[in-house]
Amino acid sequence: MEKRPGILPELIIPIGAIAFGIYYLSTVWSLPFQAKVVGIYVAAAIGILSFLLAIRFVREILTGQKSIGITGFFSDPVSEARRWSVLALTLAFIALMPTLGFVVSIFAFVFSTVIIIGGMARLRAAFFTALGMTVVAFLVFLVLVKVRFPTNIIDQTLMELFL
Amino acid sequence: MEQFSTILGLFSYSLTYWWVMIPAILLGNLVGAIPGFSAANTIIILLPLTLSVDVEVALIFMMALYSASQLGNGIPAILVNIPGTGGAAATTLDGYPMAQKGQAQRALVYCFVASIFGGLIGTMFVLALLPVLSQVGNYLHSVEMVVIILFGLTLIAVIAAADMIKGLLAGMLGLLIGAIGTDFIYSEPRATFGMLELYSGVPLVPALIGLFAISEVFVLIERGRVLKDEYMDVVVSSKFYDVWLLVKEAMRSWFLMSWTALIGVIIGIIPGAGASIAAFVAYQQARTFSKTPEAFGTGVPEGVAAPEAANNGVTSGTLVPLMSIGVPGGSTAAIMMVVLQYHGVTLGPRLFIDSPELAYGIFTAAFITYILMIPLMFPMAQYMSRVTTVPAYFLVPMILAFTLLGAFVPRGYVFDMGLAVAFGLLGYLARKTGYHVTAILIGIILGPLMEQYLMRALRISRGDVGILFSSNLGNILWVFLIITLLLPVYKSWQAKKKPKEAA
Repeated sequence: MEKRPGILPELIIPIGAIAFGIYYLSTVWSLPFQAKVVGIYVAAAIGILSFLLAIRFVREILTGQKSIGITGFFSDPVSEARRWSVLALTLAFIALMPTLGFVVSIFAFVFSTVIIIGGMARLRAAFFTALGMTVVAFLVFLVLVKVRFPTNIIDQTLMELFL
Repeated sequence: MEQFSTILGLFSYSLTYWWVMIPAILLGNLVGAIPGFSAANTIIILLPLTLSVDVEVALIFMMALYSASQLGNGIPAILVNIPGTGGAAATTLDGYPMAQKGQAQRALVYCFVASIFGGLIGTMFVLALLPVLSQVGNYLHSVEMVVIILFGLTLIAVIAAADMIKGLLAGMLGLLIGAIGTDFIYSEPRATFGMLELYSGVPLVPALIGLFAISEVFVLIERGRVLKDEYMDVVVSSKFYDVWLLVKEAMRSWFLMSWTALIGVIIGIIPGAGASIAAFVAYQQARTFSKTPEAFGTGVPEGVAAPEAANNGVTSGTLVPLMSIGVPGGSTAAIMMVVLQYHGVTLGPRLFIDSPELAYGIFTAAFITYILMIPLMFPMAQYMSRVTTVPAYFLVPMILAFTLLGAFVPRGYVFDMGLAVAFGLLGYLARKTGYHVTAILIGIILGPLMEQYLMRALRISRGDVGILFSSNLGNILWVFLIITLLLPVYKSWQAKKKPKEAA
């Protein structure tokens, strides 16, 4: 079994930075010099630093310090499953908030996140945490501060009770 | 002499408004601690209140809220690695490692002492030298600002010291992300991915929330809680008496807090500059002149004290151009100006003759606010530090929900919540693979400012780079910058030389 840390995860940021640098330059190429000068210098610096990093990675692979792979990037399967589930829930929370409204989406998000991380044994704790969080968020963001979050009939009815 | 007695009288006059200051302090702490909220947008929200009360009450309320929010920014930065605003980002560098080592209470006490001491020193300094300080803005033009921002940007190299190439690459990526959006002269869109939401640049709050808060919760899921298990007993057994001992310990850094607060005042006076630049410059300077610079970033109290003193020094500095020439030094000062103008107050030199109770009163109110924070804040340090013991299954949903809602607040776009998640993934990846997230953030915060001032200078000189060396003050700052960069190299050379000589 390969124990040496894998190099591939460390390549994501330099490759992403180079790709973004190329995209950046493509959008500023036809602009006046002053509008693109920072982009040119910074993108060039990214290119040089990525090249130096590549040399270091090659040397680390050749000397056996690191391997070509993803070893060491992921933690234990339980933590990984929880992490990716929380990410999925976060994205679902953002995507569904305009449909479900403020109160329902926050309650559902907090409740399900506590369950995902703490397990089904935390059902009661999840309910009360979600309830408390929803009440505080509702009072702070909608009633006190009046932030224009996406709301539905439930939120509007509750707001009418307070305002 | 008459002016002196007027100012002295204003201190006791300001104290009679304690009933306005205390709620403002508590509210300011709260909004400062929630990413997305700030003194500026809270004062906007509370405009119906500030416009309907007497001008003195409005001014004192706004000043107390502003000062308290600067202190509040540092609390989540220390406890959960989430800076309330960009001004507290430098506090995370040492504050959070201290919290992880069971020293959250110590870090919080240093934060409170530095904030209060920095605020008091800043206020006294401004009151004593107001006529002189009001002229500072006239001498700091684009060229000088380029050099001042470079002081902050060199922190990228300092952070990168452990792994220079990765740290610099992270900083450069941050600078390029900071250069997204329309440019300052031609308003041409750059690297916006066709998204209208990015035309005004990458919004700071979602970037801050993503890089720090969201990436941190992904790490917390694995770790279980902020505090490392071996330090659990230390936090649980902490007593209130410890706070008093820590205050005495923190006061030994009075000299560091004094000069970093003055850095904050000077940077605060410059319109457009702010707490972010001040905090990063102060941290970088504190590290440069420290006897143990290598310990910075691992959890040293001086790394908390320096940026906190500086960002509270900014509070008084930012009001100097507002009161003396009617030019707001920052967004909060701009909103204060609107409120004062609504009340019929004409800002400028005449104000100091016609209404000294307002012109000087704003600074004496800030002074009294900081004094009132002493009994209000220190008792809370012990209880706040317990946040680090809360299990991840409670902390993660609360942090995520509050920060995502906070990402929405400044601009009202659901897009910004998604952007925060994107930055969260970038931050998590950076943490896992050894690229420093603070270096990325410094680039995002200071990059656009740097570009703005550089563009302005080049525009004035018609593209001649020589303008950067054309002013006396600018050249003095260049010399200081070079000394700052060379001093660590010289110190490390000296340190290596000593053992050789001993041998």
